Amino acid sequence: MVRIRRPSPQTIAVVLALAEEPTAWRYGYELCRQLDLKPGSLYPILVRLADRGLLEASWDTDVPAGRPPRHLYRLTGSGRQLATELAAAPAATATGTATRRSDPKVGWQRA
Amino acid sequence: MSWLRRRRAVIATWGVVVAWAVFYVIAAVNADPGPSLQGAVQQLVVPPLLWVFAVRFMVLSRRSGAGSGRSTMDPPERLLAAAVAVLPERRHEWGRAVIAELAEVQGRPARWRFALSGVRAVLWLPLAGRWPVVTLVTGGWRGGYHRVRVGGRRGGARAAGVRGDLHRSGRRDGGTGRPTLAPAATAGAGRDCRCRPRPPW
Repeated sequence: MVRIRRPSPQTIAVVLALAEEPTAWRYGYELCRQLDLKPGSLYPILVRLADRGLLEASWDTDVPAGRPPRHLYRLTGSGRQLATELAAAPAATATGTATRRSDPKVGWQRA
Repeated sequence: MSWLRRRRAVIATWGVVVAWAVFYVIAAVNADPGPSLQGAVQQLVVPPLLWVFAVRFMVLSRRSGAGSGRSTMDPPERLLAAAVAVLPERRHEWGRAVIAELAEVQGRPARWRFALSGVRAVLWLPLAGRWPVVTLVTGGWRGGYHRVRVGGRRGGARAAGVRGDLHRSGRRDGGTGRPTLAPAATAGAGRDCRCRPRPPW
């Protein structure tokens, strides 16, 4: 049986940051600076969210000459729904984290 | 070809020729029995030609001209590109995304921090058993003098001192790196890749 656990605090922060303007496309580096996350933490989170259909990505081709196209991110409908759930239960975050540490076999992120 | 590169190529060529001539003369003098005249001439000429070709190729390809793609990349971007090059095809898009974001980061320290963290992110993506390749690429990158921490171990550090060169065929192609590595890098890879480190999340 697959149990659902709460995402990590960093993942929650990313989801909530993206949910601030659900329809707006965001850059990865912008999210890094906003959340004070390193790319080494942010990008795996974005990859997992995208793999689970919670995040959609697109290439921004409207960049200055000589710059590579940048990746843009925003939440999908499922992602917005998850953001709503996460925002509605902020107090449970700490409990969820404790549960995750005590039971490493179950995993929202590895499901 | 710039004057500096021509000069480097000429110096490297003469360095190889003189070094080989000295080495061969000493070896021939001390050989018992000594080589025949024809054999000596052949061995004096043919091997240095090959060495000269190899050295000139290395010098000229390492110092590629403007517009070749590589000359526009700084070390952090090269490091990141090397890591992205070993990602599975389906993950290349994410690797390119990290490289693209690096272009927006200003300042050398910030770029290094971003690149190292980005490498960590790239290496934690599913690699389908490519850890030896990762270690080879990171260990051989720019001569292997840079230590890259892989899961608590010093991956690639044991390849320090190994001369390596990474040629890229394009800047935005997802990092099609073609590393040139010495066997010592392989030895380092073998020791570093016995187990896959546990992801931090």
